[in-house]
Amino acid sequence: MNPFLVVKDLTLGLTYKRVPLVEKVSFEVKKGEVLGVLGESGCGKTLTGFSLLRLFPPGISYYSGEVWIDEIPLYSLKEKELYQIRGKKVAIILQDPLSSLNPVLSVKEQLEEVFKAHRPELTKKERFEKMVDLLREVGISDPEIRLKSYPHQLSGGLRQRIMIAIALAGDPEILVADEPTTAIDPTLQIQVLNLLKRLNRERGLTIVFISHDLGVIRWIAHRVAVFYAGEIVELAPVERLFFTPLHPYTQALINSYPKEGKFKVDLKVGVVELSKKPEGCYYQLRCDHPCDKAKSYHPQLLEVASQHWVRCFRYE
Amino acid sequence: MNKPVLEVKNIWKTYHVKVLGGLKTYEVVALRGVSLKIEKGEVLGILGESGCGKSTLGKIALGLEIPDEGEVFWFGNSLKNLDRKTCKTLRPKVQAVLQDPYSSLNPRYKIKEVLLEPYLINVSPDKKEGLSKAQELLNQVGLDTSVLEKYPHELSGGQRQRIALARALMVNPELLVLDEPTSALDVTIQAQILELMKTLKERYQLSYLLISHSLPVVFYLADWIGVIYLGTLVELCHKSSFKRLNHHPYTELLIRSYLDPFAPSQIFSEIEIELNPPISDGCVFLDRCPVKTKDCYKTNPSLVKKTDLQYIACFNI
Repeated sequence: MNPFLVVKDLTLGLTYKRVPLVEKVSFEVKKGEVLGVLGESGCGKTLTGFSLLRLFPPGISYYSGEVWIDEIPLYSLKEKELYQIRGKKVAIILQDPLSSLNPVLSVKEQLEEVFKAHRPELTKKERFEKMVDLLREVGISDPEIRLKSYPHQLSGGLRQRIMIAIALAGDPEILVADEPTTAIDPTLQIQVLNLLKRLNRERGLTIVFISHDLGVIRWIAHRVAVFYAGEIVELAPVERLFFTPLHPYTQALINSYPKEGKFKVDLKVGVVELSKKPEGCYYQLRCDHPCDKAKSYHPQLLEVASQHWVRCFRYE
Repeated sequence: MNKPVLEVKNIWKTYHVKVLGGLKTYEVVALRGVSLKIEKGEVLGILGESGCGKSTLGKIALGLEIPDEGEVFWFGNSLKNLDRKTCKTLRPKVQAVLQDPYSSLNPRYKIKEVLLEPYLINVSPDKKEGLSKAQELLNQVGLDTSVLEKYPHELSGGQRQRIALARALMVNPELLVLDEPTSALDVTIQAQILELMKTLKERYQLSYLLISHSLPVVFYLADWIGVIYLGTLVELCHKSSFKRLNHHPYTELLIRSYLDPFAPSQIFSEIEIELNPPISDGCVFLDRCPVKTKDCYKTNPSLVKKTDLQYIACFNI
């Protein structure tokens, strides 16, 4: 089967100065797969997520590369043609449901907007039925009443479900989930994750799940891409990544997670300044196994075992 | 025997929230009769979901909020009838480290000033001594003394949290209230700060009141683990026996909803958790409880000693 989402050499960066923040990122996602994206803050994982909808925060521009969704090249389309892609092929849910819902519009108005844009043929009554069904599908009881509520009247878990419902309203095939459970409590987190899992299983929804939480990624993803300093350093099936990590950064990440009250501290942690990346390997300053080659050459992402890709000279 | 560093007795706190521009008010009960104490050198970790009152407890322990009912004791002194002089000597003994290292440091102060201000006011007006103390503490928290001349925006989140710790230690405290000290940090940096907090605790013989929603963080640092649900302390359990004892149904729920990245895959099937939060007259956890009986509808159970190492507020455990 052909991969459903293909990202090839995607490079993004600052608008006013040529500083790449996401560098030559390439990956593929099959239909019905959940790809987890793991990395620390500022590593470019959120930017990558947004770029799958060809959206950029202010001050960030597209440099080069291409994204194919269902064989449609996203970055070769005209701005107007994008309206048929966003919401319909690919949708996004964000971290904080309170600030990403409109506080002065009811749930119904916000949901209706999507139907009006993507399903204009529906009558008012059909639209209402669809909305009720959709809210029921995301696990909201009394959908008729909830449709009339405003975001502030809903709890955190409910708001996140509404966000998911809005994202699903256009019947997308890919969902980009950018840390959708960081702002909510662990007991609610499980519910939202279960919902996404169910949608993935029942609808065959493809999900790109961005998070810095190892537990969440382990729970939901089939494969995981680890980002460091704007590039993928390791890409592997989830169990392989958690139990036999190869890249020193992934190893540091996994070892520093408290297990049974114990963990290993990575002493060389510092924030990578994306504008002052070292020549050669970006991880060389923090690496436990520094090598001479890393000082002047940049390693490639290579498949070292079946399905297991690593960007490190130790495995070349 | 020494007096406990912190003791709170039957604390109630209600907030009156104004809506519609003050036309209506409604009440939010943040804490319902919470009692606990921390002995010298102990770490009490408080777990709970957002809005359960755990941060209010932190503020009350710091003396920043006054409880509606109940009393707070610092080293055996009640905060209610504290005269000015004792207050001045006791206050520096209880310090805070807050969640967000970006907003808890004054952006217009150099790190030097951030660290010196509490020292000059509370310890001694000698600037030179203060500076050498600041340098010593910066070494302790693993920072170079060159940061003294920097502003907070020049530092990363982890570095700022180190500064917040150093600032709290400037006045020789005995109790630190740590309100979600690592939740704004990345995993690798969180590990460093956790280890640092453990080292500092031993070195300066500190006691911690650690407020967090993260099970592994509490598990790493705490001696006693307290669980708060809707303003009620539903369980207090010593870490040493946490793994083998039966727990309050809410604690069980928290444990089950923790996603362990290293669990063997067969456990990773499906966890179902029902949820309807609002509460009635009876037990606060009634609506979500899987083991409720008739008694639970009548009164809210109080915290009962089960063993030397565990206290639970539940009729059925």
